[in-house]
Amino acid sequence: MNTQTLAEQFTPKQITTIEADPQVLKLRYSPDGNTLAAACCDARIRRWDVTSDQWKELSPIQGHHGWTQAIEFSADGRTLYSGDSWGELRAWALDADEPQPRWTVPQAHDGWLREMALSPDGKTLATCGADKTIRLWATADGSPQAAWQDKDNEDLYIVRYSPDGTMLVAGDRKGYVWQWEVASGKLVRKLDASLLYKYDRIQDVGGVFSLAFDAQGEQLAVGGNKPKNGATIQGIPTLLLYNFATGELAHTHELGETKDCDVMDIHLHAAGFFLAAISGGPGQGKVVLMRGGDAEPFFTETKIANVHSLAMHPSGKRFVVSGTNKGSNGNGRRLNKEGEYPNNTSPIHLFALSE
Amino acid sequence: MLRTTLLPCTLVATLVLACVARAEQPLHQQIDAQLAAHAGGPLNGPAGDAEFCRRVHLDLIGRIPQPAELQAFVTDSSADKRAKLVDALLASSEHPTHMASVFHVLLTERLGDHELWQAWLLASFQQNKPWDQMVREMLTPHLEDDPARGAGLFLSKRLENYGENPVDYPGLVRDVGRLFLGVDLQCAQCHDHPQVDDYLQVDYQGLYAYFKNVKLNSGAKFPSVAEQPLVSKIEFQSVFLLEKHEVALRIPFGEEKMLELFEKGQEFATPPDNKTNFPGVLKFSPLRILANDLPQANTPGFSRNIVNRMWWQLMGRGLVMPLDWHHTDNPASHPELLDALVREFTAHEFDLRHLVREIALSDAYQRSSTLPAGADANEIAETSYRVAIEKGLTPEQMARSLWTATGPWSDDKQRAELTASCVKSLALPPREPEVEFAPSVKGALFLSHDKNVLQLLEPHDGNLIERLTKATDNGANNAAAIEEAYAACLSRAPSAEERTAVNAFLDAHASARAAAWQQVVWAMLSSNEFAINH
Amino acid sequence: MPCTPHEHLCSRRAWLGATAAASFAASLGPFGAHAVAEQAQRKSKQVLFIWIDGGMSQLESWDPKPHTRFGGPLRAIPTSVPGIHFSELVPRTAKLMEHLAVVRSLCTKDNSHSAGVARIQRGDPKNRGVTYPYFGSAVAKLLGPGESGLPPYIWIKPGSGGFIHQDAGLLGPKNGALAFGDGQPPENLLRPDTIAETYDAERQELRALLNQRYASQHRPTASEANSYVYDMAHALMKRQDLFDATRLDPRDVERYGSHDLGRHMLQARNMLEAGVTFVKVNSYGWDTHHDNFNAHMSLMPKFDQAFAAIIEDLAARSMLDNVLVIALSEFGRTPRINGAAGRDHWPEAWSAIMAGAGLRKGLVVGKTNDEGTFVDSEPFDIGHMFHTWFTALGIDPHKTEYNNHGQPLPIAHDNCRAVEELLA
Repeated sequence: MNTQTLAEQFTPKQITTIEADPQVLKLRYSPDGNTLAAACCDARIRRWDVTSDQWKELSPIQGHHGWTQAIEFSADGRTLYSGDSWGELRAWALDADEPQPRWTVPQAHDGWLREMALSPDGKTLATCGADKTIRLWATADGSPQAAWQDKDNEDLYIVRYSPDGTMLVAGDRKGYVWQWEVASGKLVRKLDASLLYKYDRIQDVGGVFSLAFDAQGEQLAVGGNKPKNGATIQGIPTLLLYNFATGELAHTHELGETKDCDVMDIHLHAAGFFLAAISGGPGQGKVVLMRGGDAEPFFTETKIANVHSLAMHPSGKRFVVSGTNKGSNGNGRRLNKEGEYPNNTSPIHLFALSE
Repeated sequence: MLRTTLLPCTLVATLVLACVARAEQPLHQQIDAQLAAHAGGPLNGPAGDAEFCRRVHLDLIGRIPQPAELQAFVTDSSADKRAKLVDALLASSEHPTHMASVFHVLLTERLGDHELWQAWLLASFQQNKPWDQMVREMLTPHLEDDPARGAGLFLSKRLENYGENPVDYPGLVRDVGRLFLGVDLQCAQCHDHPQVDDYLQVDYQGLYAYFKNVKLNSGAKFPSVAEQPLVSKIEFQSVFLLEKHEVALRIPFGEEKMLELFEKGQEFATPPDNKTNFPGVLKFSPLRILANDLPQANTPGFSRNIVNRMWWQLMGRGLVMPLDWHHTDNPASHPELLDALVREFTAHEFDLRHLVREIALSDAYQRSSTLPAGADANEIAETSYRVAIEKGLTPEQMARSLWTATGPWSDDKQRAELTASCVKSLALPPREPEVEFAPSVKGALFLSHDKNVLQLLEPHDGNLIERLTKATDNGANNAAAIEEAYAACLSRAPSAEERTAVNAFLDAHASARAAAWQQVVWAMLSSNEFAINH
Repeated sequence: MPCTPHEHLCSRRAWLGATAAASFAASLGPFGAHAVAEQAQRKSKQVLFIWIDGGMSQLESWDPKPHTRFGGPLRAIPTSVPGIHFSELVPRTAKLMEHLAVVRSLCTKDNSHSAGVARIQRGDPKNRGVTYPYFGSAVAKLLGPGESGLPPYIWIKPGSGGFIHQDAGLLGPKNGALAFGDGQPPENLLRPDTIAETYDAERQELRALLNQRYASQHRPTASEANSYVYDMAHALMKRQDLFDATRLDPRDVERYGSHDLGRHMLQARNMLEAGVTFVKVNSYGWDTHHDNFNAHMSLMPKFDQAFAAIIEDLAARSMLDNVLVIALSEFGRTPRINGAAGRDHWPEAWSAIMAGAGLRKGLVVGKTNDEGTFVDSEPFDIGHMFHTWFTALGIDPHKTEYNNHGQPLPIAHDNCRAVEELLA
């Protein structure tokens, strides 16, 4: 499909926005597309019945600590796996109105469990975290299957299975994508995406924030920012498209200015374009739809600030992004009308891809 | 109060002074009479010829004497040789150069520079331009096609932005008060001065009014400022009191001058021209009024300030200290003397060279700085002027003296680099008035290690090190060479002990003569004796 | 700054008054002489001042609020003192809590860097229309260079170095900092290769002879001032090892960290051992408006490593009794987490960590509320800290004054007081 056709068929239209309090770190649709789950920075997982455009909130999942950032549904939709920033991993039975834990691994990682991925056969859950380790767990009972680490890999921000389930890729703080063969547990490749990283003064800045395969496993998208400096970070949001078979970098897409910063989440659409969620400095951010290899996106939504997560509906016809309320930043004492010190929230925006 | 004491000072002073010194005496004799009358102890004897010769060279032409100049002076047996030397130095082409450098530092406090400013300073001292005229030129907004146009730097530099800071108008007002009137009004900006009864908020605000609508005219090719019409009085209120006040134009401690208003569009006698960056000439121009009204004999503090500063320049201590702290409760150490100086300066139409000459001819200036045998330094107050006060060499004096001592040199670029590096390493930061001798670790390291200094110790084309090395190659002429080194660097003869010590040092380093002389000469150039104008 | 009276003139004159030891007496108030006598007996008091520029997050360091609304993702860990917890990002420092004192109830005024950096380091004195000295200049002035003869205020920082006069404020440029930019010495400090050591010693001896003669004939003021700076320059030159990075022990570098902060902290230890009165170490780049947590996960371990190493070393060398160690920023960071996962500027409720000379050990003073948003005990401004620090150094802030052109000025904010709980 050429860009013109993509633009005609897939230019998104916003349908609705709902407030989520407090901020949302990750959105996931259930496989049947009827439930949306949001992992939040108060450690809860909120859920909505989204069968109609009038979302109905379901009872939240509680019990995690710190931030819950990693969530995945099982293929049958009856289980939700979740991991928190204190290193705990849980599986939740969703059959009842009040989800109950199926199993719990209290110390799955030493520290922040940052992300997870479910094997295509549904039997294994891969997690990664600040302890620089990939860990594999049996989805049935949470029993540990393997733990992988290279002497050089850093804090692992994100992990993904290749669609055929033979490979695991994980992106680290210094901009490298490490690739293990699942069957042998061997490290087979290290992709150098270190333009997404900079050592500034004494700070490691950037890293691989997002990874996504296309459905066939031909393309691997790697997202982050090309940092100019640390502290109050400035960096160009950058998405790299690799030929997964050869490891060749096919396209480097710079998706904004230095204020725009991080490609936080990516989806490669079956129709041959990608969606990227971008969060910049406070108040900055956008959603970009673009055909790989093009010079310009065919759609850019800039009204949404600080987009942290993007989830594609299983139908491929709708998606949601989580942004941040306006005025989320500011120095010093800023109280709301009630005289309270407020937290920030995440509006969740639902878009339809037109056809 | 300042108001009552400053205005009729001439009259009062005349009456008072008549008791002590006769007005028809030359000024330098009045100086000595005044100081002697209040000395409170024995006056030190006159400086030796060499001591005087070095001091007067440094003060009048900004460098130490060359050995030949020193020799000629010391061997001159005429009775009036000191007066002759003063006059010769004042007449030399180096005097205006030195004065330009002194006034550059005094007036800019190292905020910045411009070649036209330097040209104006030099020309002013070459012509011995009266001080009132210099000030008038500095306060005039835009002197296109005028040879004095570099004078605009005094205002333009202070109207620049520094980084993200807004233009420092209070700083400008403060500097006009400090440098032209000897009063630091900054603490009177927001209220009457908390410590000084004489400094009222209206003194600050009235002076500020002249500058309120003045801006940097950055497009002009020379230092220039532009003025917009002043259409209303300055309103002000003390931060301590509720009462509101207003003032139009008012030179501190003077009479208020009312504004003249013109209809909008009719304010300019000559309208501005943006194409040529000509800022226009206002029919009612506060700045031109200030340029006319401030440099006047009857402006309180105008003459006192500069007279006191020139006295400080030569004598090492102002009659009023700090130099910008003239007020009733901080009287001069010798009020009658200051009045006499002011009177003479005004009578001589603000002639700086005359003033400098008279001070330099005084016995007080020519006294020795060497403490009398057995004297306790703590018991001889500087304010008595009984012993000459030591002054630190300015960075510019240091550069010229290093150059003079170690030369001859001919490379102008090397000279410029030496001067620049001396300023960089020895000067205080911008806005820090260079009033006291303020040596620093940075300066010590500079004189110890900097390539611009060490270069002066390399033997080269008949320069000092080469002459000394050659003269002592065979070890025969040590004595004469030692004499020469002392004359060149310290402007004096070595003592017997010094002769012996240096001779022994040279003998011990017979195999490396040039290196040994470098060590000896460096020791002299980095000595306290060299760094101090004594 | 509305007014700047004649502080420079009088302070500089005073400084020039005599040798270093006697000079500050002249500029201190009526109690000056008394203060000098006291100080002569405890000349070994020193300060290590670690300036974390941009604003360290109190929540990711000394005052964690795990699993609360604003607590962020990180855990808290126990320290070596039961009941006291730090963020998981400072495990090494946590093990040394028995040496440390933490204040969790700082509540200061400025939420901008431009105002905060200067006001915190100047102790935010009541506005008297003069520019107060930074703490380093103040201590250098009040304690002097000590027996080492080394410059009393040395600043080790990334970037460029030189002679930084601005810190001195009303004390005059003399009391500014000598800054080692990225550990490198300032211009002209190193003897050029062409000047051999013996050659230099000989020429210095000749210089001393000349100075002796001059001094015997003149007032002492000017020549002593000039000799003093040469002596200080010479003392510094003799200790070239202090800024020669190639001479750092590799085992020390490994313990402190090979990053800027680790190397600079190690140099600071060596300078303190050499007897420098006040050493300031700067770390830049802490203004984490964006990605605060990943930033602190990268920054804090480096701080933890270097800070723990120097505390260990100072303790092991029994220097902690005499060296006052202070680490702080211009403010803390907002509890509220902004859209960029950052934290903004927060002077309302933040923490500082300190140790050593004159302070109690192993305690936390003050607390914030459960969500860490505001102080929930008596709030302390920076003026309280200045009172506390001066007192800990044996300088009585009620009896010691600056003399600003005849106007006596308190050395710390007159509305504040020392925090008694902190003082040993």
